[in-house]
Amino acid sequence: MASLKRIAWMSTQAALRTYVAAESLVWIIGMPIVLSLVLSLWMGGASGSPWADAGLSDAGIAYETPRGDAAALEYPAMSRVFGVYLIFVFSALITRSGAIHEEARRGTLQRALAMGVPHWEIVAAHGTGLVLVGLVQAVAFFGVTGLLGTPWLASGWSAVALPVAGAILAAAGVAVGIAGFVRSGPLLQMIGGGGPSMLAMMGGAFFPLDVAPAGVQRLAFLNPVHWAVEALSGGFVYKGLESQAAPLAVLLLFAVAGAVIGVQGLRRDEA
Amino acid sequence: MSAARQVGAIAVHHLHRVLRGGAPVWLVVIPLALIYVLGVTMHGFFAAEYAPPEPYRVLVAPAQGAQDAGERAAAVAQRAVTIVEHVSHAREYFSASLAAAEQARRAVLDRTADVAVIVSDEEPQLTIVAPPESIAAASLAHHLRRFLAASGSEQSGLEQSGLEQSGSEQGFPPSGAAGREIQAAAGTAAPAGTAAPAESMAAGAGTNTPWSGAGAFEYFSIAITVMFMTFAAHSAMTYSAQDRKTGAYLRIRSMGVSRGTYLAGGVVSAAAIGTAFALTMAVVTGALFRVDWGDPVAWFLMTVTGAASIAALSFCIMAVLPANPKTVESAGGTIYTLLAFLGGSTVPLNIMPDWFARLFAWLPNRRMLDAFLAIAQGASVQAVSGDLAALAGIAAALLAAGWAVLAVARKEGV
Repeated sequence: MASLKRIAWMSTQAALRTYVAAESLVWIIGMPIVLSLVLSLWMGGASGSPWADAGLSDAGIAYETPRGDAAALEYPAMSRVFGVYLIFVFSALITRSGAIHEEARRGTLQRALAMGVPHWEIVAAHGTGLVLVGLVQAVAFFGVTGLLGTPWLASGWSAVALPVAGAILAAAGVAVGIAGFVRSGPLLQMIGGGGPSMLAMMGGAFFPLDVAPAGVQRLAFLNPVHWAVEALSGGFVYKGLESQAAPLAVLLLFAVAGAVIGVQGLRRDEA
Repeated sequence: MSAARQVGAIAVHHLHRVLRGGAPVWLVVIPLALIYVLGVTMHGFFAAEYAPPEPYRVLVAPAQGAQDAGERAAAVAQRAVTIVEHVSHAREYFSASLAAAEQARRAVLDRTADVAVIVSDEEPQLTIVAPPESIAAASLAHHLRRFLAASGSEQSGLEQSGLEQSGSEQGFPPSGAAGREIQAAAGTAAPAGTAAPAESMAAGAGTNTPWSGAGAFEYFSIAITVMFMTFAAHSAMTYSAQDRKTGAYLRIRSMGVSRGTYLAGGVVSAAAIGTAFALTMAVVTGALFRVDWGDPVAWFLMTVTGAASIAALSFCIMAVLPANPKTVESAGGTIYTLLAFLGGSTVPLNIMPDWFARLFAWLPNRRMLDAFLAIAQGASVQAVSGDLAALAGIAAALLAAGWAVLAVARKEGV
């Protein structure tokens, strides 16, 4: 119980420290919202029949979504905004994952160990802190973009909440995995800055992978962003929970694998 | 030491700092990796001869009510068969087969088929069932639209046996044209989930734009180079801000260097670093991705003028913000990331709607992108003189604005 309390305390402090900094607020919450707003302006009026403007209806060709409902028509606009979110959740958590090394540099990690706090608790608190940072970001991002008009709840809460939860866990796991082996702050920042954009491009977050070469399509199976997008499309376009189960399981696998790998690397600090 | 030599010395010093700060990695390796990834991934948006890795799976089915026995039902079933035959002519793109309506819908929902086409003898004659942003569906719909038009739908055409004509006569173009149609469908369906008017698809969307003739590697080599030129140039301005914090600035001033000379050193070094970076990228992308950057004179003038406009923008950012290197660095990163997006560096302009491409055409990085693309496709100095003049004007205006802020708001006693 004492361990849980300490983990909860340390992780909450870590999340608070993140959001107290104005720079973090801009990067983690402000930027994705601004970019989504730009995307929403760009996508304005895109919902409805996917080829309403192309004269196909007049030619005797109608369009129907796989489930036959109108909610799926919102998906293209929504998926781009979700793509922006995915870039920023991975970017924020990978960048923030360097906090544990920062603590080691400042000596606070060593002091905590000297005071008898087990190393595993510090690592667990670090991972939980990343999840909390992701949760706060998600609440702010989806709240504001929802208020600005993105119909996140058009297919029910699970259509969006599950992919978001999966994405946060996978991003936290991947971030811990990276932090286990990358100790340089600037390098982490570089990976956090460029990596997620590449994952998004190669994972079909902004355009369907139909146009990508076969190799890129196959590579997407190793890409957590791809599975997060699959979870979203499963909820909005296909069979709901049934279609979301497999992508969510893969995201969870990313989270566990990343955490396990990262913990191995972080153990070096224990000595 | 003359002011010009002082400016030169400051610029060379900043250049050394950038090179020592891991620039070969983050300024060359990362952009090259991005170009490679984007070039490979988005190849389908640029290649006129695009074909999907596997043909799209299409199921054609008579509408539910039309499956009963009777003359009308038989006619609808016959239409479905004809459409399967017709679609099968483009076997590189579509693999079509017959199914029952419910089975076809279920297959799309289960993702064992990409598109279902439900055929009816009432309006709408065809219902296409697919995910809303399906490129397969968009391209198939445009094929079928042309097909319906050609088969004389005005006279209730499907029954007029127009469909019995061969696919190649009817509107299924040879594979190259089909590829262009799919490419156009992809380009328009992807961002907005909407397909463009068929006319523009047939013609190839946006044929008069600088990016219309560019390949994926050419486009992204130029776009990513422009994007990272801004980061490269801004790093020099960050070092200028750092000098204030470390006290180096005051030491330099105490040795007789005027404020104007010091600031000019920062701007010149930013422009020089941007130019050096662009030169490196032009050589490397030429060697690795076979990108031809076009007329060297036009390229050089555009590079120097573009780098100057970016340096001026960085100067303006530094002038407006508090003299804290971290703030200057972060603000520059934010502004340039946003500019890269709006200016078509990260998402190609050929998949943006026309209004988006037009709205941000005035941005300096976008002007550079347009001009470099035009030069790569054979434009001369004269052809891009408008862009050169505009960028020079932007540079002058931003330098003046930055200087005005510094002169009025931050007078120095030194």
